Amino acid sequence: MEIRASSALKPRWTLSTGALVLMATVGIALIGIDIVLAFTVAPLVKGATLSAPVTLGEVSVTHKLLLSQKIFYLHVPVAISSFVMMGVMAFHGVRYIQTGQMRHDYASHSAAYVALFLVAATMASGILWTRFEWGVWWVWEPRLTTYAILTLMLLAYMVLRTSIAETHKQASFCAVFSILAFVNAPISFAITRLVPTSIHPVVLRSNAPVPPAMLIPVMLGLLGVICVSYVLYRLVRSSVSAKAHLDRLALSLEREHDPASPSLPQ
Amino acid sequence: MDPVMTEVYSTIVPALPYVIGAYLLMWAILGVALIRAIRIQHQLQKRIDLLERQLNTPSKLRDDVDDSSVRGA
Repeated sequence: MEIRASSALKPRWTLSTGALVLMATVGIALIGIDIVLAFTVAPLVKGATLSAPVTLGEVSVTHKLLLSQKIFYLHVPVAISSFVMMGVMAFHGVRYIQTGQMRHDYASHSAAYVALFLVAATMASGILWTRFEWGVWWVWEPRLTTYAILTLMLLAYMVLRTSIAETHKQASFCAVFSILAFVNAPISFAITRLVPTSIHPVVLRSNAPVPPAMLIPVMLGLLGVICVSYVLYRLVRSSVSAKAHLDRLALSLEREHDPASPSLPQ
Repeated sequence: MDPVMTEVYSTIVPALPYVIGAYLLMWAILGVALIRAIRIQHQLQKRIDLLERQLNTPSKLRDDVDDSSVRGA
């Protein structure tokens, strides 16, 4: 009988490929619509007062107009998606601790990997906005500081994962660390609302609703980034679990050659 | 240009490189993530194919296949 090493891996990947491609396409299209609406429908926000009012078309303009705020139409969806991915990471961390099943470790690892890219995109766009609006690359204000801590914790998670060889020990340590890292996410989200001295803009607030022309692009962008993030997460999760499976198979082959070689991870 | 109009647009034109840069960076980072994930998938597929070949090779012949490429990919 022919042995197929990938029998457990190929069907799952093949079956979901169409759905993943569709989801990625929808996600990218939604992000595209978000950007188009942000630059066409969404109004420019007002900055400093002009020395004298001016009429543009039939509209009286009394303030400087801030183009840099357009960065938020993708920056905010990417940042919120990074919090969502960190939530997925922590959820599977908790599930691993509860059940000890490796599939939760693979899921947690994959979510952390995607979250790291989302955090990098958030930081990169945020730093450019900060440079233009505040004239500096970095300010130690509450939101930026808590988000920087979150970034460092994700990097530390990746370092921790590569520094432990034993499979279950690695998974346990990473599960606990993923929960600790996630604790910072709601703090980072709420800090601008809790600390009055925070100078970071609050885009979504309950007491001052965002006009639909601005809110709809942000929501479409959020949906799009979540779709793309999910596709990435599924791709990475498939790779992580397939790699673990392959490592076990390769090790079993090695054991067949040399029975004195290390035992298989359970 | 009218000085007031110059004042109106004083924050728009200088912001353009930062806005374009921010959007490009975000797309680039997400693109890198996607390309990297797909590349890893392809590498794994190669390992799977190699391992399948090894598993289906009689044990005498299997020794000739370099399994270091399976473990090291």
